[in-house]
Amino acid sequence: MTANGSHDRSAEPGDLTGRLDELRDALREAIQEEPAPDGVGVAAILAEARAEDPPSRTTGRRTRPAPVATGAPRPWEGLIGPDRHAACLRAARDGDRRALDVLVAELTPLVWHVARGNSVGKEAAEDVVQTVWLALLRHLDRLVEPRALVGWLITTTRREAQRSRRAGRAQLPLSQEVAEQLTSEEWLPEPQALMEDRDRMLWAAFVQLPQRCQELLRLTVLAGRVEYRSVADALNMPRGSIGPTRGRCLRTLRDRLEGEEGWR
Amino acid sequence: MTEPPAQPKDDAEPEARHAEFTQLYDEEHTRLLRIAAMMAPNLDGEGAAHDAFVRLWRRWDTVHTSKRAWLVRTMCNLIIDQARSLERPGELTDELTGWQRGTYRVLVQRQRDPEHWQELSDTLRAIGKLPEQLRTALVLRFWEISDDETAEVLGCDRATVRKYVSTARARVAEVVGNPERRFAARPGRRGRGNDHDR
Repeated sequence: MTANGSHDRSAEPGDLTGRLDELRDALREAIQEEPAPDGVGVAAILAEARAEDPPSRTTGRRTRPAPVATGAPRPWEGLIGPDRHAACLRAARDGDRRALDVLVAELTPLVWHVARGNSVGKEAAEDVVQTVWLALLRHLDRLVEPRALVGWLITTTRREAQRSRRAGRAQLPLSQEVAEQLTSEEWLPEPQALMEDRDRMLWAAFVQLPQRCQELLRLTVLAGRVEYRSVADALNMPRGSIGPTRGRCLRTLRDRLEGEEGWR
Repeated sequence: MTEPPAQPKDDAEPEARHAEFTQLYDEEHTRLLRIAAMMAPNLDGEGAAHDAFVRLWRRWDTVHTSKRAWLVRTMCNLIIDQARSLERPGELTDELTGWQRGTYRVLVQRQRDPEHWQELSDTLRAIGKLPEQLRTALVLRFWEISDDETAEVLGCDRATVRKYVSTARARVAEVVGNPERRFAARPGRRGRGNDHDR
């Protein structure tokens, strides 16, 4: 969608169809078609579907075999790509440590990039990489489709990265400092949105409120759906005073706004 | 009826099944992501879509109706599960950051004109606030899922789907199409992008 013009905006304000069309365009742009068939995505799905098979089909008879002597042949030698990985995986399954080392050495960059691509920080990404390889060790016997190893790794990494991101966020204690930081980063609507006159005035008045009031309002009004109990914990206030304080803050905000020219 | 094979058989015509699945994936994956993004921009639509495909593959031979409808329904259920687990958050932080920010995330990247962006976000939010049935009906229509399939997803008939869609549209229009809320009284503001005062 180009910036100007492909849609005629002169339609009446309640014109929902036009709006929905634009929304569709925006979403199409935000979530684009894969340029080429996504073989990795399919492989990952197949690998995962099979990995969760009932154990009788895949792992029934398995006990871990004895380690392979270091002088043994290397069946993956000379192979490339999925075949090589598949050969390594099979060998690793049969207890060949060297095969596993090959996999780790060759595929760690991939795992690393996937982790980083899921906006995990550097240190967290290292943890993710570790976890993924450990997961592979645990699942070694259950990956029925050795050729889908890369897909499996990608999926696992993506999930682990997401998990790690969520966990990382949850671990931050919501101290006052953190709450302030979070607020300015995350909850304020895009600065551009303030260009709406009314919003601008509202926010202008809002930032003049005492810090405490701002926080409280952000937590109770903007974030919505939050229990007062959590807010009380976060702000270190008695729970019973949240409601009244909130009311007071809103009143102050309204008074300030009504003092402004051009409000309403 | 008879015991259905729960798992695609290993050697019998795996190639054909494979090809079919791959084709379905290539055709529908993006659409599923878009549906998820609209149903619940703040949740993990990618994960839900992926899981839906995994489940479909495991039941490939037992899904005899529209596979696409099956996928959509499964994904929607997974999204609802996700939403439920968010509903009662153990932590304050996740709820706060996820909920408020989520609605913006999808659109924020590319929309440069702030006013326009705001409008789209509002619309998206209004859709997000619809009751489950209405929202599903609207979103599926939006991404060109046929009414028959939507009926399958929702477990109702076609006429009901139509009714849901029009009710949903009316409700969204009520919120985002309200001239007062949209400051439409000021002429000239609606021209997009080129007549901003900065």
